[in-house]
Amino acid sequence: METEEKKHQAYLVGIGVMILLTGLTIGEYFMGAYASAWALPILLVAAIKAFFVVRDYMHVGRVFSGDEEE
Amino acid sequence: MTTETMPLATYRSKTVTNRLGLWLFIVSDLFLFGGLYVARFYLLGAGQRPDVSQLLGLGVTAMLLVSSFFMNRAEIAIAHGDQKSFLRSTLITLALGTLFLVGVVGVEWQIAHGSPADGAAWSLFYAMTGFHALHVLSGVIFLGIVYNNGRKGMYSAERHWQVEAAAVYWHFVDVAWIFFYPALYLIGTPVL
Repeated sequence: METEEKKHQAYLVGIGVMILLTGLTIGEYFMGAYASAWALPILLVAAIKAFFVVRDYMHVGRVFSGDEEE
Repeated sequence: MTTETMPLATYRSKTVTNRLGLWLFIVSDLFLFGGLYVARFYLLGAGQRPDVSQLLGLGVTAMLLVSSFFMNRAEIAIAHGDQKSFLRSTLITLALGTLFLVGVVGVEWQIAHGSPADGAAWSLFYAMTGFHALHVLSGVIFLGIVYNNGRKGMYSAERHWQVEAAAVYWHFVDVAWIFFYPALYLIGTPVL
């Protein structure tokens, strides 16, 4: 039962990150389409997207924790 | 001693070492992507970019991001012993990765207004997308192997290092594209 709950929680984090990535990518697209000179804000959006992927999908924390699970 | 027969404590200890090795590889690969990225801004600045289809760029980016979502689901599923969901999500990831390759190499390269010999913008475009596409291709092959092994029941909730490695690699390729996409498709005005 606890495992099911853990799995559900992990799925929810994945969905949350996906929604965030979708929103940021759409925003980034319109910035590029209508304000392509905004290099720094566009790159900042990319950095935010990368941060969430590295933290929540790549689980970089596992490298430092040394455990099987975070 | 195979991974199926070794004691779980040994397997876990090896996984910790394997994980560090994988991340060291990723950091070393990051220098190659970083070199191309710096070259793009050094040669074109923030005012120019290749004249490519922004809509197609958005489409292939969406495919890769959604594929990362399913890769994450696959890893969560196998970590909780859900073989069916693991196999289904891995297969969807594989399909989306293949579609990304078709979108970039099969469509974008064919409709592009320039060739690699047509100046810095196009040289960089083909170098960056080509280098990235090779990584996607190797990821697709890697995922194919993982899917095949998964069908044979080689992974369990306790022993699935290969799945984790494939997932981390796949997300890394996604992160590289997260930076390449604005550099090639969004920042600057198009140059022919």
